[in-house]
Amino acid sequence: MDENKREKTVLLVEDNPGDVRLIEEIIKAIQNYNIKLKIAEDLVSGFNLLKKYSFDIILLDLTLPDSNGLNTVLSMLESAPNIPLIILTGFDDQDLAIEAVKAGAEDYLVKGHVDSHILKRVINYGIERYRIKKDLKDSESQLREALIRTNFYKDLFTHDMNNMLQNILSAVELGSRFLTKPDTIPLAQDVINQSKIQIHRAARLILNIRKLSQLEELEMHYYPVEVQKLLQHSIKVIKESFSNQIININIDTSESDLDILANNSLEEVFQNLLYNAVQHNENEIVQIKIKIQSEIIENKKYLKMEFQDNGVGIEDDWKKTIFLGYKQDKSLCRIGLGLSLVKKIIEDYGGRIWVQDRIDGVYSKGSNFILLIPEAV
Amino acid sequence: MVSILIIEDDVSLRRLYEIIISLEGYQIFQSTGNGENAVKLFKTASEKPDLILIDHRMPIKTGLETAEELLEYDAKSKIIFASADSSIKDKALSIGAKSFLLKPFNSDVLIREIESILSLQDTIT
Repeated sequence: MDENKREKTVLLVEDNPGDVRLIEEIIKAIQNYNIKLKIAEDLVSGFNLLKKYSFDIILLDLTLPDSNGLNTVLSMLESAPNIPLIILTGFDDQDLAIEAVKAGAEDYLVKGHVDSHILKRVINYGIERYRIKKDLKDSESQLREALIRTNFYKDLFTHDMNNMLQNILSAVELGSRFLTKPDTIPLAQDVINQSKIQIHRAARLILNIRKLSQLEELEMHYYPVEVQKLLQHSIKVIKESFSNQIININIDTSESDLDILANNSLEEVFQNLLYNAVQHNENEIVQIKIKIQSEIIENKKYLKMEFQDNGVGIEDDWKKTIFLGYKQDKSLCRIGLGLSLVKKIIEDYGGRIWVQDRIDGVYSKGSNFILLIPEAV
Repeated sequence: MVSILIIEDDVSLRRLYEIIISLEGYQIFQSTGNGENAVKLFKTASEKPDLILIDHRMPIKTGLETAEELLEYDAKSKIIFASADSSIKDKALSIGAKSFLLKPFNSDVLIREIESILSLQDTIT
């Protein structure tokens, strides 16, 4: 649609009836230009109209019964930060008008020096300039967000990689030291197995980073997913990663037909949760119970999944920050990338995730990660 | 017997440290993945560990925070940082840590460092 022909709603905040009339007449004189004008006599009435209607632009006189000078501008910018603002000023007040533009107004009109061409141009340019400024600001903040995210991944990646290398190096050194003593060969084998686990850990880290960038770049597609099938596959993958460990996983569900609107990323969710349950576990036998049931919350049907483990558990303070990922101050928290990814995927499905103690109040007995995902209708 | 407190949240690395250190004939005072827990253990122990090996980036309490608390409680504590984060090296040494090992390091480097720190005379009396 031709931008000139689109109806523009303009808020005029002006207490002088003569100036109001003048503006009304100028507007009438603009040909082929559709303006709907609403008038407020003071700032408070202007704010009230802003609450009721949406506007394309505001024309603001600086000397009003309830506000004066630059304060008028600042109050308006605060109340209507998303609407372009044009200042109406007297011939003698142009310095103030320039101050107003510096403070955030788009432009100013000098009373008595306005005609239909000038008004039309100032309104059109004001709206357009504001839109461009906003687009620029939005893209700037997106870039800033992306930079923070990148730094977070980079930092986490180097940190975790070095930890894994430390594990592998220590294990290999110990392993070779043991191998010269036949009686310690079983211990050597155990220590060398640690290296294998660390290599799988590194592979998972790389996989998660790749997946996270895909989630940010690619469009997500959703379709009904058979939860049990995906879960069984994930269990197989995790058991293969920790082939020297005894892992008992027991699925507790009475539901036979479980479909949710999701996609293949759900597998990353399951694998990361299972992976963490095994990795952060000091028991000889890792026990994981997966409880699956339907739950109705506010008339909406959800699939509730609980991943309960006998691992090292998560202290209460940490429970609050464990999913925060890059939004968290990096010095406070050593969160794996896995849970950031899990949270992002679950939230993309319209679901949520949180963590509790497996046994309420005794964190050291293991964790219970709970997922709520909307069921496919 | 010389005893060493290990503070490292990476479970498998903690286990490997325990083995490396025990093989050299040192006693493991305690081994924990939680700085807060370590401070508690340290404060309540009647006999303090001779040396502390600590990671930096851990949940709940960082290595730097933990070390600061330990040193505040006992300025003579001998602390070795073992971290993947080189950016905290200066801070660690400035608060009073005796040494900083950047991961990954060889186990003989760790052992040499432990020996050399243990042989240091207490500077604060």
